[in-house]
Amino acid sequence: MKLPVVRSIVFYVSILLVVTVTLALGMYGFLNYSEIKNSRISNLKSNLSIQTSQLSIALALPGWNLDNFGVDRIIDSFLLDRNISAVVVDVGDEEKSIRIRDSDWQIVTSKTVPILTEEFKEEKEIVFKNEVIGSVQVYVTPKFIQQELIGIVIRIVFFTVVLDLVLVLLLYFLLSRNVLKPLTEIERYALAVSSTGAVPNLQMGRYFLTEFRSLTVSIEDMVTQLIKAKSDAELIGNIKSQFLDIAAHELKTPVTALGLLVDMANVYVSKGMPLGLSDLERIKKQTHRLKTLLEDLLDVSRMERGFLVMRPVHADIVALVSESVDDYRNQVPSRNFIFTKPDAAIILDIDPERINQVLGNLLNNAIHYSPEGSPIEVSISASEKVIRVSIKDYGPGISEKLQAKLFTRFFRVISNESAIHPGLGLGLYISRSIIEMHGGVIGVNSEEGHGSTFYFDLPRVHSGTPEFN
Amino acid sequence: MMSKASGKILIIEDDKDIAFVLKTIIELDGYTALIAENGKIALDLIKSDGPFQLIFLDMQMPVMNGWLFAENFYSLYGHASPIVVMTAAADSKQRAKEVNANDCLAKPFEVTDFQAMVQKYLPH
Repeated sequence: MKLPVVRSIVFYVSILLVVTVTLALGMYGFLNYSEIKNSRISNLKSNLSIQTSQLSIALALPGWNLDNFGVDRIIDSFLLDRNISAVVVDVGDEEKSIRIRDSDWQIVTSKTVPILTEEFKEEKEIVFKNEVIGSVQVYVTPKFIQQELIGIVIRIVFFTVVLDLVLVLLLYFLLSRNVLKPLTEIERYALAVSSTGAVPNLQMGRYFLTEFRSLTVSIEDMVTQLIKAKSDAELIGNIKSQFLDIAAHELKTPVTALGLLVDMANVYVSKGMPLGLSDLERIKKQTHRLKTLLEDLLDVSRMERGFLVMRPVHADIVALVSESVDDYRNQVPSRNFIFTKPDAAIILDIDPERINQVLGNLLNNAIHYSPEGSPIEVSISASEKVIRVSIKDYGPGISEKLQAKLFTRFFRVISNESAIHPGLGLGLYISRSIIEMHGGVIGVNSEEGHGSTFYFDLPRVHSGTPEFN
Repeated sequence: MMSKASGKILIIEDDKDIAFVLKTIIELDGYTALIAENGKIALDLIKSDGPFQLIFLDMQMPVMNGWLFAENFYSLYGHASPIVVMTAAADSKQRAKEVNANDCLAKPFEVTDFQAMVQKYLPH
């Protein structure tokens, strides 16, 4: 896993650049070489032609005079040009004058005509007074041109190699500083995050490649997001286990009461004492309390798995609220319920049982959270689009900070109010779900010291089939 | 008939039914019992009707909880009465330690557990 991709990129880029530079310089060198070679060779050839002509003209008089000494002197003077490798002069009946170069490039006299395959050869007649008196052959060698060309090739190759080396070093320096080091830094960062979970700083400021700067930002953003998601999940897990503690705690109270009541009934029976109606009422009340707690827990479980279903029917919301208020008037006769309602029935598509559950939660809260003797005001108001049911209490009111958390799942854990009022704190969360599934809104208006008004709005007309999911 | 025992017991518990059963049982066994719904009422009762020979203390109550009550009680009266904590917490012994209580009853408990606890501190 350790940087194989990066190394191969560096490798391939270097190879590509080196090959390109080598090819370009090689091409340039080759073209330069051929041009120089061609011009030198053609110079050599044209010089050869001129020299041969000059020689034939210069040899005409001594040749006619059979002046061998003169002939040799003229030949030697031409042989001062080191490109000329051999001269063969044939005048009169005498033997040919043959001058060639030995291995040390010294001029020597030869008896035989040299066989020089590499050299260029030119032959001219020697004419004196319009009469051909002999011939002259001149050989020139491309040897010195080749030496010069080899020098050029060596220079080009040297230049190419030096340039390649400089390129490779420059590439290595740039890539290692600007690619490998940042990547190593990213690797160090990733290791630090994965091994310790801490978020160190990515120190990339000194690398000038802007791509790495934006990459740094992206990576840091990603890690921040991931760490946030992780801590959120941990927080939720923590809250859930705290909630379980609270739930177990809350369930223990009715279970304890029920157990004790049954034990007491046993004691009564064993002592032959009569069991009062109020004792049975107590058992019934605690059983109901236990049942409500369990139903709330089950509702939340259903909600979270999407199994909470509404069964809507046409129902009169005014009658529904009236019945609920009447129930509470009977159950809690000590409290004064003031109910303001419209005269006519209002038919809505609602699940009456579930709306009753919401009303129960809101009324229970109003009773629990307001002082004995203070009134509880229930009202139904109708606008064009919605029906609003409001329940006002004259309790201590709710701070804005708490209002925001009121309808959330783990309100009891988050609000840290478990020591004050019993219960699971799920009522408002479940109520919100029920009202929202009816296409409605639930909310609270409250000011500390001035009581609270909880309300829910239900849509008046469902266009087409109501959406209950 | 069982010989009637004597002793005044204070039950500090916000659940009316639990408090009622405990008071009934105590009285059947011949003791006297008073109920306080929370720590604040309990402190008032101790002032007006004290001293008590035994105190049963619930922890989570409105107005004044068990922790605050214990703190106040010790500062006012020292360890004048043994305190038995009744708690639904997962670790009831830890709760008892937290408030320097003499004993604990882990909810849910039975009447016999409760009677045994009374016997332990107020033997016949």
